[in-house]
Amino acid sequence: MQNKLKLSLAHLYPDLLNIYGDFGNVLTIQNRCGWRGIEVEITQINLGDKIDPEKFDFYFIGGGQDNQQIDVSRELQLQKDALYDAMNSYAVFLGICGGYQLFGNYYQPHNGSRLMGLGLLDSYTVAGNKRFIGNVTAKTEFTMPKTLVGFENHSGLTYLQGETKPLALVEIGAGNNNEDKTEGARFKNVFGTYLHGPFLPKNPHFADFLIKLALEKRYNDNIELQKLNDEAEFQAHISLINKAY
Amino acid sequence: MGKIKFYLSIISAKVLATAIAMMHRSAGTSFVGLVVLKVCPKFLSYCSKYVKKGIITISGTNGKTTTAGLIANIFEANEQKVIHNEKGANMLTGIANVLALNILPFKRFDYYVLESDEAYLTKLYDYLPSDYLLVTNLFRDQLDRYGELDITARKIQEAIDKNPNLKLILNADDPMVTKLGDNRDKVYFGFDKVDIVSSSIASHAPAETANCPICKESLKYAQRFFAQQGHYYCDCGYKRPQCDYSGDVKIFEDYSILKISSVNGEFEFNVKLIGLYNAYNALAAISLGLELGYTQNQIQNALNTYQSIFGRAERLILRGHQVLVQLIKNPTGASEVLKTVDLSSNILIMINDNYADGRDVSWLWDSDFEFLQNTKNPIVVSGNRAKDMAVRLKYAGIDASKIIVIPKIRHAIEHLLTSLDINEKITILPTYTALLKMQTIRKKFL
Repeated sequence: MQNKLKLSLAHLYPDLLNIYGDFGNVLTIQNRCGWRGIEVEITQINLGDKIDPEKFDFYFIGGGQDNQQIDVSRELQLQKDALYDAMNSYAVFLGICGGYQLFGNYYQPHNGSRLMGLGLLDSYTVAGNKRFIGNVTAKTEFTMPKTLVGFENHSGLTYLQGETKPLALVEIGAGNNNEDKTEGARFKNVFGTYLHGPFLPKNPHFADFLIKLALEKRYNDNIELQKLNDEAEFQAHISLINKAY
Repeated sequence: MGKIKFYLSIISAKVLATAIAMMHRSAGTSFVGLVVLKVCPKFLSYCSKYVKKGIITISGTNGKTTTAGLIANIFEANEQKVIHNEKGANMLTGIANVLALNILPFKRFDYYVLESDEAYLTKLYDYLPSDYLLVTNLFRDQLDRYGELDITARKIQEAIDKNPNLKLILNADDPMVTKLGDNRDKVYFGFDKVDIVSSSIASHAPAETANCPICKESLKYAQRFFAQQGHYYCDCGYKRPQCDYSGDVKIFEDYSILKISSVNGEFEFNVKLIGLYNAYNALAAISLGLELGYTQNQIQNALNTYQSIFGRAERLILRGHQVLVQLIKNPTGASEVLKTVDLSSNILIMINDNYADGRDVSWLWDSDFEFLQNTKNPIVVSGNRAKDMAVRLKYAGIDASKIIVIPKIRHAIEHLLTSLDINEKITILPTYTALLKMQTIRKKFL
């Protein structure tokens, strides 16, 4: 048992951004650590809470409806410096859908002013005219197996630039913008994706990849995770590979 | 020409339904309607001539089928002739289906009781305007179909705007529902007091903020009953309105005692349905009954004879086993159902992801399957998303060895019926199309 280890996770604005089973992603980190005897401390960060970048190894942010996203965008501007420090100390960030968009530079709606993001990822999102809704299969270079599966539901079109690289390339689904095959993004240990379903329970290898990165950040050492029996998870994962959009 | 098409469509509907029945298949719930609307696109407008007293539509996220069923039963128990889409097929084709199969050229009905999908309401009113619209609640549901809750509310508002004589019966405890129909003639129902006598149950789900539909700030609550239902108020002045029909309910294990007060006095009802969510459905239906002038006795008689329909807390006997079927389809509804599940029974969860279920199954992770942690027996999961459900149960804290995956619905039911003692109870929790599937193969298990 890896029972001396500990992980500290900040769940950002869970009462505002929680639209697509996002709670399942946090539950997955919590359980997969717990089954290995790794203690997880989860802190919910709400509007007005000051974020201490020294305190957390992992930041999770989900997706929400437009109104909630506007509130969170405003709040994040106040927490920007702290989150930059966290990124530069290689803390792990995972943003899903709306949360992913807010990791980028901005979101440009059809009408009205830009919604400012954090700029952790060098990406931007513009409102599109079509909603992409369906199952997604993508391939990433970061894990073995390479496949990532999930469900997307977004009309925003996200474009990556500079040193920010795609998380994966889509085989089925629209991904970031339905043009360049890219899905999600990574810079340092900041990850964003349009996949929910939710994302981590059905991609346990990716969940472990993030847990490992977060532990290595905390302990500044190479850490090998104990193997778990993932039969149920991979049964679900495999059943969704190449599932029709 | 139009009239000929109308009669033609009625005849073809009946011929088609007979043919389907002769092939020993279920007449479906929408197929005939689909054909009828192809033959006669204006079919629904002609249907308004065959109803004498009124058309009542019921919409909202949860509780449509039960509320509509209770309303139809109030009419039928009091000798009214009613057409009602009781199987919950609530898109245009489903409504056309039930009307085509029931209408005869020289027969008039007293009421149509039609539950309508929120997004199809405006299309329905293009052809068949209503006298009453009852809205139960607005929760997040099947976002892959309609995008967001605000969009759903807007669609209902558009439907209301099309229908100048519509009288609204609205749930005052739901901040999204209350705002509908700004300056229109409205009747509100809601609970003053909710007393859950059966057990002390707390939700594990993350607390969800409800935003004020006027100023978008977070709403505050003096009392909160479940999800966003309760006595809300906002600093901008928006608040729960005064109710025309105020409920005070005591929830027992499988029934509720419901007191309703209005300007006409106080009335008590015994409602033989499980859970607070059904008490809301009963309050909605009874409020409409009282509004139309039915007496306490007439309504209570109707409640006594009400049979839960089609998977809404429906009780069946399958090969001697007592079976309770409870539809689950979105987080709020599923969590309310999960609170009431008998943990000593044998639980079968059937999850499909067809269009009518919502193709996105992420809602499973927003539903409190944690309530099943202390279940006595293994849980069987089925449907084309059985494997997703198995993962959800595992992360809800249920040991993987206690989760049995049998994707084929027929095999899953067969497994339970053959492996269990006759005195063991079964609880089935299906999504909508899994329920339909079960219905079509039911005869095999009698």
